[in-house]
Formats: sequence, structure tokens, C-alpha cells
Amino acid sequence: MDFKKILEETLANVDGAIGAGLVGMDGIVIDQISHNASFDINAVGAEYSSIIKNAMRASSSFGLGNTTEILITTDKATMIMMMVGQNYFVTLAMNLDGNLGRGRLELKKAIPKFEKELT
Amino acid sequence: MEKETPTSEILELKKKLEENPDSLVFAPLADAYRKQGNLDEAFNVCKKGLEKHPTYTSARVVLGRIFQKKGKTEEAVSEFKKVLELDSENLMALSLLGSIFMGKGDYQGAIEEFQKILTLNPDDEEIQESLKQAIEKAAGEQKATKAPKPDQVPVDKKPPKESTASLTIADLYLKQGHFDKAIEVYQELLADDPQNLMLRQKLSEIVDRQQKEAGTPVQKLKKNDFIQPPDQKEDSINDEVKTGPKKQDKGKEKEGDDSKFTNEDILQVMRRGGKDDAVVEEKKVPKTPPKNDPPGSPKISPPEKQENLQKMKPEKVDTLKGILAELGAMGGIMRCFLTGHDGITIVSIGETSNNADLGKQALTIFQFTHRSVAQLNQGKLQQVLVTAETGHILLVSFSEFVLIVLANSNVNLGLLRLSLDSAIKKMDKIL
Repeated sequence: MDFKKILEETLANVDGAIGAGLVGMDGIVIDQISHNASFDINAVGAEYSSIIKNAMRASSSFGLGNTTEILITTDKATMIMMMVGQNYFVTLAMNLDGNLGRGRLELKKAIPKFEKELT
Repeated sequence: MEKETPTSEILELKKKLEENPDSLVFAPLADAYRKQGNLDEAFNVCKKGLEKHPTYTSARVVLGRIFQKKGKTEEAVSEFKKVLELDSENLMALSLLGSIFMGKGDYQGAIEEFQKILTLNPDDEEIQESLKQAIEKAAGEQKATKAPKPDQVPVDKKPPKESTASLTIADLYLKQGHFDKAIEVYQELLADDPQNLMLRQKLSEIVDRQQKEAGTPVQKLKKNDFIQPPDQKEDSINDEVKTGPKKQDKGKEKEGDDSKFTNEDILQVMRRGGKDDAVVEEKKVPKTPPKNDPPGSPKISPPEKQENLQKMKPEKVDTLKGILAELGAMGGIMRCFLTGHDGITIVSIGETSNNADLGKQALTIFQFTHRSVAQLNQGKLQQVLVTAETGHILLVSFSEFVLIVLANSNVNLGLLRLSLDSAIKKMDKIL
């Protein structure tokens, strides 16, 4: 299973991307790649999975169905998380000047590849 | 020319490649050389890597960029086309191809590439701008070669390309939900070609779609207008469709076909998206809450927490409501809440049931994420966007407040973010 290759390709296609990872909903990182030492997916996996679970509850309360994506913007970076099936998510961290639209699209393109590898 | 000293990035990537010559690291290494201006080394590394990994599209994009920088445009185009054969949705290749076509003066080619990108990624503002420029240039070119009037038509007259550019503009308007403008374009095209069934059908569809989305026939244009003879139609456009924009344009009235789509028009469509001035005007909420809201307007809910509002002057509350109502007038917005960090809703628009509870619930996402981000030392949280199957929850923090927007999946997120920035600036001044 070449998750790293998919992550590498995603990172290479997005200007301003600093790291990406495939994480289980239990918070355990399956694979990750980072161009920036300050961004360590291993450290954030558990927190991110909790954020997703929280968002899932809210989406459900609002009658919006299952959560598919979360985008977090801070004054340092932008993080995108997208669900891969029901048990995993892929995350991409970007600089503030990165191309967010492209980041989202590249992640969307990567999801079927991960799903194929995970089934 | 003196050779550049390898950067630390290059040294690190080179080391990785030496350790594992079959790895894909050759692509970022070649790109690093390219960025440094060491094009020969970039080419050698990339070419060698591609011999082992010929279907690695990212590397082929790098090779194309190297050719481009070397001034070998044809080779660059060839590489980007190879990429698109392998991955027809490769945005980088589409974008670079579009830029090359622009540079060569092939504006139609550029428009096609940029449109493909916007189909895949409608929120890409950079490409929207590039497309706008390509359309302008194409229109300028067409103006220069525009066919003269019938009595001046030369025998070897070529068919004008006007319709392609106009349809492109109409499509742009449609993508942005700007139905009135799209209808206007189609009416003009029909005036030139009244028998064109495709145009008639398309126009009919747009009118239907506009009325459906508005929930009421907000379009001042009657559906039958598109089958009027051209001479009557002209009056119809002048009297009805143009009434709104003319009022708003403060003297920037459109004069004839050539000045119909100004740069400002296209920019305004991209900036505003959803509705034209006239429609927004209809939906604007007056400073005092209306007794009878017009159909389709977001309802102003009663204040959930009187104690909060009592601290604020009534005119401020009205202004805040007005700002939220303007935001709510954008297509796809279902509810907006302005809450304090304590979860108490200050003002809201949209459905009034359970607003306070839902506002609190949405705020928990923000509070939870805020804590996580702080723990991970990832900076100060500014915005959270949750996308679900049928809609979005967007939370934006400013000062001591959080603006929460609930939207359906039809909303244009790029425009929503722009509108939010503007709304927050206004609110920030008041609060």
C-alpha cells in the first residue's frame, strides 16, 4: 500500500502545502509526509479526529447529514480534513498564502485512491 | 553565467535521491533547480527520473515548466498535453497551458483551459481573473476584426466569433448565479440570431431556473420576452431588464454593444455572485424591521437574549441585522447568527425556530477546535468550515464574537468568504 506516494503527489500539486497525512478516526496516523518540522501529523491526529467527531454531531443536529470535510484557518496556517470512508480522514496543512481551492481539489482527487488502497 | 550555490533544500533532496535513486524525489529536486535558475541541471534530473517513472505527472509538469522557462514553448505545451492525457483534471497543467496560450495570443485556447479549471474548481479566484483577462483580450481582438455592416461586407467575410465570447460570458454569469445578466446576453444573441433554437431553449431554462431559485418571479423580464421580434425586444430590454442596473451604475450607463461588458461588470459579477443590484435592493432589510417581509427575504428573528440587546443601542442592533440580512440575501444562505464567545445569540436571521440552541451547538465546534488548535500551537483560530452532505456550517471569529453561517450545498463558498470578510469589517466597526 503506497499511501506515502499518494500523499507526496498531493503535496507536489498544491502550492504552499506543508504536510499531509492519512489518519484513522481513532487518531492513529497511518502515513504522513511533512515539509515543515513544525507540522507533525503524528502529534495532531488524535486532536483532529476529536474535532471531526464534534463536527459530525453538529452537522447531524443541523440536519445536514454526515460531515465530509472540515477546514480550519488560524493566523499561521490552514488545515483541511476530508473523510475517507467512515473510518479514516486525510488532512492537508497549508501556508496562509497557499492555494486553498487547489488543496481541496487535490485532496478530493486523492480520496478514491486511498479508498481503493484501504478496501 | 556563474552557477548558483545549491540551496539547503537542493542538498537535502539530492541526498535523498542518492540514497534511493528510484524514489520520486527527483521531481521536487528538479523543481528546486528550476526555481534556482539552474535549468540544465533541472532538465537532466527530471529527464532521468522520468525515464524510470514516465507516468509521474507531477514530474512531467516540472519538465514542462523547465521548457517554459527555457523559452521552448512548443516542448512545454507538449509536456502539459502529455500530463493531461494521463490526468485530464491536472489543474497545474491546465493552468500553465492556459498561460502559454495567453502569451501566444491564442485567447480562445486560453479561455478553454481556464474554463476547464473553473469547472473543476469554481472558487479559484486567480483563474477567474485570468479568464476575465482572456475574455477581454478575445473581445478586443474580435472588435478589431468585427464584421462591418451589410453594405460594407467584403466577399471573403469570416463568421464573427462574437457568439463564443458572449456565451462564455453568459456561462460565467450563470456560474455566479447572476441570472439577469446571463439572460441579457442570451437576449442579445437571440436578437442577432432569432431562429437559433439552442439559444431559445437555454434562455427558457435560465428564466425557469431563476424563478425556481428565487421562489418567486423576481425577474422583471417576462418569460415570453425571449420570443419577441428583435426590434420589440430591444425596447423590452431597455425598459425592463436594464432598469435596475442603470439605477445602480451612477451614470455608467451602457452605450451600445461594444461597451456592454465592461471590466467592472465582469469584476462585479465575480465579486458579488448571487444577485444583481436590483434583486439585492429588493431584499435589503430596512433599518427598522419590516412588518411584511417580501417573499423569499430572510426573516429577522426576534432577539434571543434581550439582556444582550439592551446593552446595545437599538439603531446598532438594526444595523447589525441589516448586515446579516445582506449576507443572507446571498444565494444558499439558510441562517446566520452573531453570538458572543459565551454562546449567547445577539442577532440572527433565517429560520427562527431553535436559533439559540443551534447557535450554541455550532459554537461548540468553534470552542472545541479553538482549544485543540491552541494545544497544538497552531496559531489563533480564525475560521472553521464544516462541510456535510447537504450543507455547510461556517464559523468566523472576530473581536469577542463569532459569526455563524449555515448554508446549503449550493452556496458559492469563495463568494461567501468574501462577503463574510466585508460583513465582519462592518460589524467590527459597530461592535
